[in-house]
Amino acid sequence: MDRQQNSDRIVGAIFAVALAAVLASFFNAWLPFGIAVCGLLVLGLALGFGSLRRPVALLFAMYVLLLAGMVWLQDSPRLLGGLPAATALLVYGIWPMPLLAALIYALVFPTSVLPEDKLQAFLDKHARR
Amino acid sequence: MPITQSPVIIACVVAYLVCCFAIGVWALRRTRSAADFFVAGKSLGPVVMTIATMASIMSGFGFVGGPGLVYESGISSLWITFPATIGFALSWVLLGKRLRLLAETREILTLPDAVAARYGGRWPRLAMAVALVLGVIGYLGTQVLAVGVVLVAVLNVSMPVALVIGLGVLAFYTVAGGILAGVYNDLFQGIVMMAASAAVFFYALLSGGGMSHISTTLWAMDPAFIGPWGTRGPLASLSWYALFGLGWMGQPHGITKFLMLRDPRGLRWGALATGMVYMVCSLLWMSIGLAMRAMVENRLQPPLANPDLAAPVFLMQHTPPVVAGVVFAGLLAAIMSTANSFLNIGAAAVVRDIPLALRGSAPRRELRWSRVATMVLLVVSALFALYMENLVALMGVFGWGTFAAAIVPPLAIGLNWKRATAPACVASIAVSLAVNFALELLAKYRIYTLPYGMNVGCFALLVSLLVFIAVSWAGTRRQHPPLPPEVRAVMEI
Repeated sequence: MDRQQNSDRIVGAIFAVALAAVLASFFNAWLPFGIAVCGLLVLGLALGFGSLRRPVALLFAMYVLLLAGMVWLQDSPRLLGGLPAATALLVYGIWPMPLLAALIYALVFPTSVLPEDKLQAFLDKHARR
Repeated sequence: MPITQSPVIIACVVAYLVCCFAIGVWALRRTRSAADFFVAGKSLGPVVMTIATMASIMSGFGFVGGPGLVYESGISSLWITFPATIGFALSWVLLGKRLRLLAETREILTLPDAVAARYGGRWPRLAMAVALVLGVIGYLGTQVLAVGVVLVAVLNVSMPVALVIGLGVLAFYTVAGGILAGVYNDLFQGIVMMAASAAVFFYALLSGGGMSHISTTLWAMDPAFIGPWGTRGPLASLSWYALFGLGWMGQPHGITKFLMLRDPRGLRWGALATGMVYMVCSLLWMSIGLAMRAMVENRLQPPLANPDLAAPVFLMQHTPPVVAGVVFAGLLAAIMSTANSFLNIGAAAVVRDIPLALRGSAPRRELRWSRVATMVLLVVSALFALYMENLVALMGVFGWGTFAAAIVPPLAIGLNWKRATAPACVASIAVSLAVNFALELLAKYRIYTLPYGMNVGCFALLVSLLVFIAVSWAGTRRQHPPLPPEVRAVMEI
């Protein structure tokens, strides 16, 4: 599948998920809405990263697991790290977790995001003099 | 806001204003062209860009409204500040490289410049410029009002005098030094904000008796308050997460910083560093509201008349004057750094983008006219804030949502998807503005509100995305002008 087809598919998925989110919001179906929101965020990363499917899929899986955990524990008064367990999953999980995507971006930057040879070729050909 | 009489707090705030003024003098000598004025001559290193981006995004709302919202709605409020981590990652992944490389190929000083490069024609540029002006007016009005409120509390002067002092300093460094003064003030302000947040987090935990004690107290009061969704409920919280996660890519005061970066290689660690720095500043947001509410429950603090008093009352009554002084300076920093960015973006839209769209050329002596436009915008927003407070509050509400819904589809999707079309760009911007304004007005006059706490900005953003993609699909069979080779190269690298 070439890059164009790949982005066509991801944008198609963004359309379907955004539509699902709008519909879910009218029926107070907040869990499907939440999963759709996570899907949109992760599809955005997939559109930008292009070829890095596994880390993006892993991020989505972690989002869904954390959301499920929050639903599971939301009535539990047990404290984790000084917070009720479900809130702890939000504060210690959902809040910092996307830094993983930022870390991946930094790690693959010289090889996948902006390789030096491609950047140099681009600048040689297109940079404004 | 209660009025402080502490000379230490007043000294901290005055020292802060003097530093802002000094940075303006320094930048004045280095601003010689419109490119210097709008994009700092593409001279920023990654560290300056990181802290300046965080400082311009964390507005006065983060230091006053955020803690107030935690005090009122509990954990719900955190769904506004926590999405910053995914928002920064998305912005760097989807926009950072594309916007920065686009600026290598032609003169890109503003977001409408980028839209015009991507889609061609005058309408996408005009639509984007109009969306920016509308959003800027709302955002700027609220920031101006906030500057006045803080200075009234600290200096014990009347509102007009407070506005003259605060806006005088802001006007000087923005008009004289443009965005160059802005970003170096942002750097200074960002450091003040981080120091303030870390100190306040420590004192909030100390005053509340530790995080476990705060949580136990609040759970006994109302489990929903300290539960993961807060008192606003799951749909409202999740719609905030969507709006502030996806919507970060549509905040012009943040993403124009990509155009200012000296070297595209400097993007590498930016998302991670900015996310971490923003997390430090969010500690203030989270801790003050929870600690104050727990202290009220434990009768260590009388209930607040207004949730927005949570931060100022906490600072004056539960922290040493030096810490309160630094935080008040940080609060002013948060407000002024955001206002400065909006002044610059608004001036660019008025002086450069709208004339370019309508006449095909920017005015001669662009730098001079940019300074004039900045001054005019500041005066208009001050008058607006003084005499039309209700309207300012209304417009401030949809500032973030307007930008998110109008800018995310055409830029974040459009720079990564070649099938996106110019009509889709214009249609999505028009629909986003119409949906946002209509739903906010209907809600304001209690005619209709979205059900189950769904956020208007989030709804408008989703609708705008759907329109953008659908109109692009509908237009794929029609002949569109081919992408210029350099724009195609930017999208393929």
